[in-house]
Amino acid sequence: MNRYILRFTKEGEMRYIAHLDVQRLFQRLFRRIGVKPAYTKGFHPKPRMYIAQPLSLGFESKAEYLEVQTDERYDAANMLAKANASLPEGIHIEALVHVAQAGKTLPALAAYASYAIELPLCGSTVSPQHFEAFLQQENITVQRWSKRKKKHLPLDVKHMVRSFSFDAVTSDTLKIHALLRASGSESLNPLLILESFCAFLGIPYCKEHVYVRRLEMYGERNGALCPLLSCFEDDGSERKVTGR
Amino acid sequence: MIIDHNTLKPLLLRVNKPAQYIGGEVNAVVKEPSKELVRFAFCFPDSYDIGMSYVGLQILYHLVNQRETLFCERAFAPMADMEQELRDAGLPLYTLETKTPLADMDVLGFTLQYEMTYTNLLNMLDLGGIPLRAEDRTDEHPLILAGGPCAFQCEPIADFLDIVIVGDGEAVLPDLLERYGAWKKSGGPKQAFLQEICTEPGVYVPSFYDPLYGSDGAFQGFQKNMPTAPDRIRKAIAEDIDSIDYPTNPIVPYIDVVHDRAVVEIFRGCTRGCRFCQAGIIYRPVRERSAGTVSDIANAQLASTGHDELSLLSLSSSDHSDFEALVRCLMQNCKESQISLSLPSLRLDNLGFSLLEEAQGVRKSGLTFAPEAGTQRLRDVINKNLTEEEILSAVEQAVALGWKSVKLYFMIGLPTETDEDLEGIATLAQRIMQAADAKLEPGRGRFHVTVSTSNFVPKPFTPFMWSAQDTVEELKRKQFLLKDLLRKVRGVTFRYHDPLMSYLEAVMARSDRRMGDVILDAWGRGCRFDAWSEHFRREIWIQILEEYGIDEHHASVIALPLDAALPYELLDTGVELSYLKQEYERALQGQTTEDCRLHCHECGIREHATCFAGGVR
Repeated sequence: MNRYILRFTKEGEMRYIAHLDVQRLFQRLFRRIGVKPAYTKGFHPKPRMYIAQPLSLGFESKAEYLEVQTDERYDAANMLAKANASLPEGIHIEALVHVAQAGKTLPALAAYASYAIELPLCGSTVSPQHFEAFLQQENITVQRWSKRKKKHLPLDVKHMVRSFSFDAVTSDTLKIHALLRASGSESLNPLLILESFCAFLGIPYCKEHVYVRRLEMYGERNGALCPLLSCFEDDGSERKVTGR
Repeated sequence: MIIDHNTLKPLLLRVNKPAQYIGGEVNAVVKEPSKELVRFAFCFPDSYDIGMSYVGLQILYHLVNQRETLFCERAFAPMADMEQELRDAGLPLYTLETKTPLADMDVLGFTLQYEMTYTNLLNMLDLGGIPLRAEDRTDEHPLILAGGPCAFQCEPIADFLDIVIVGDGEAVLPDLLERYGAWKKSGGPKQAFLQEICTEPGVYVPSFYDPLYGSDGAFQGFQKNMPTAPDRIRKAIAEDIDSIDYPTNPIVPYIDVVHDRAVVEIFRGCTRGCRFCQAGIIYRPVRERSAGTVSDIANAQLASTGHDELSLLSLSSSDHSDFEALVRCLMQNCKESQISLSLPSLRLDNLGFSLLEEAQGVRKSGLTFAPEAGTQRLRDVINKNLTEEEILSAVEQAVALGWKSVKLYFMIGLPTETDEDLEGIATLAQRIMQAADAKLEPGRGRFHVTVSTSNFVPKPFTPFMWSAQDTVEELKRKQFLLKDLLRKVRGVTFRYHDPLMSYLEAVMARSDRRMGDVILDAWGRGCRFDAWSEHFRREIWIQILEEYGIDEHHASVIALPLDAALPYELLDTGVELSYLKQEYERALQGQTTEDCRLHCHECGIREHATCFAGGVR
């Protein structure tokens, strides 16, 4: 059993392709470059390929993670080069490691994600104090859409916010840095907390003009957060990292 | 105008499935725009997910882009939400590859797949900022071409088109675009180009022919206003499709599309001679790709796309002269690479089943039979060579191999049809259920039959082109009759189609150029995506039909005398009208005509192209 963990970017116009599209994209990529994923057993065999956490349509990302399990052993450097040569512009694999031992898959390891958020202020003024006040609330309530009940339901997400802080204001745009829960069982969409923040301050929130970029995804190791890739034991064999 | 990402971003974040508006797919072609390049936009007048399932797009996209001086891009009909966003923002419809506004292209080519997409065609022109009527366009506007199956009966939209390509696009389009490039350099008026190109096979310039109408309002014929234009236009034929370049690296869509797989056309044309079928006539003669070629193309496509499904395309795949060998060879490769092989249009005889069983493996697709008519009498009239014994035996085989459901396609409103024939549909469904239940092991659930009926539309260039269409009321009555009959058979689902839409199809298929005003008006009142039941503006169409006096007496839906002047008579499919008339007479006598692979019936195509003429198998 071989496991390959990839960290890739999703930028430019690729931000408009949805999670399922990304899965399909990688399934086809592996076929093109000759990487054969292992398949699940049973009536509907599915490739053993896992994306750590879905990324909302419209967000860019510097760090998305994918795991693919294979029966055959492939040369990681070769896989990386061939994959990047076959990927469209906007998706690029930054790092690829081979992991030999079994363990929790990526989606189970994912715990938190950091984001850079930009919100046009349209003249409003926002300062670091506003953030402190916002976070000091007993509850941080967001309105989450319930598909089943077909309405928005209030939800307290305070425990899912590790940090949500003022970064800068440039050209009437507020830059925020956030570290939010992002795991299989629960995750907080940055737009939800942003909406709540704007409501708290009484400033307008216009979804289409907000910019969100995921910066990194984290797992938990020895009680501390660490970037997902680092959560895997370096098995001493090939570890390929490419800068860009 | 440059449409950059920042301009599009807020729009894309507000619409459904924005990925259909961005391009950038694997294998999409982007060339550096230059003055030497002829810019061509392949415009599919329906949504992206339907257009990207169309093999003709991939074929022509590939062929045009192979030429160094040509650059083919794509544009699709935007969905309602995106259309609104574009109009609100004052942005034009653009090509996917370079986001170039349609009006900045040299040539636009629309494919006419289905009559109910004509309002989308007009809408795309309008969204492109291009005048709809050919006479309103100047040399500054792109040249507007159209092709595809409905090109043979395009009179209803002829006023909106500059050039119509009839026949095989491969044989006309790339050369035409290169000639256009040469003309562009010469700097002459558009009219000069039209004059130059109209003598090429397969090229129809509607503006060179004036339709004539009698005092009674009937269409009477055409008068040529350009002496050098041909009297009739014969379709273009790509004779050797085995050696013609076929795409080995088709574009791979991001979003889910209707047919998301590698596709290889194994042959073109059909010899069965079903009398209602236009495709069987307009795609003659049969031309095959050899098993070796198909295999090479299939492997190349799978390698360049990463698709996990391969499909073989033709009108009747079992008829390929080397079919079994071809499929077994492909199956070998597919099994090794975990690729599923899809075999539509398969004749469900012993061979068919044996191949299906091997090809499908664990994943079973649906099984479909197309008896088209409920009684042998009517099947003989339409020359659909399928007996009840064959169907029942096939059902038994299917059940034995594990299938638990079957779909049956029928048409209602066929010429000479009586209620007895409709009762035959119900009886057949019942017999199938009985045969299946007898074979099905107890405890394995129930067998399920879907009976799907469409409404007969008399199509030009078929033996039934002079037939009447049943009125909307009559079709409704028949549907109710069948519904009642089928309700009594357990395990049967009945599907039927909107008679009003079928009526409009007939009107669009057989009308003359005056229908253009009607379509324009319908578009103007908001009609779009007419083929989609959720977007079909029923009330508007009913209003329009009433205002224009189009009813059950309209020339497009009544029976026509065999010597009637026809709006599509300028176009020659290569099959003689006398042959079609002969087939019509035979139909009325209930006489069948055998597969012309076995025996040539002198349809006329041999005069224009190499046809095996009974020499195959």
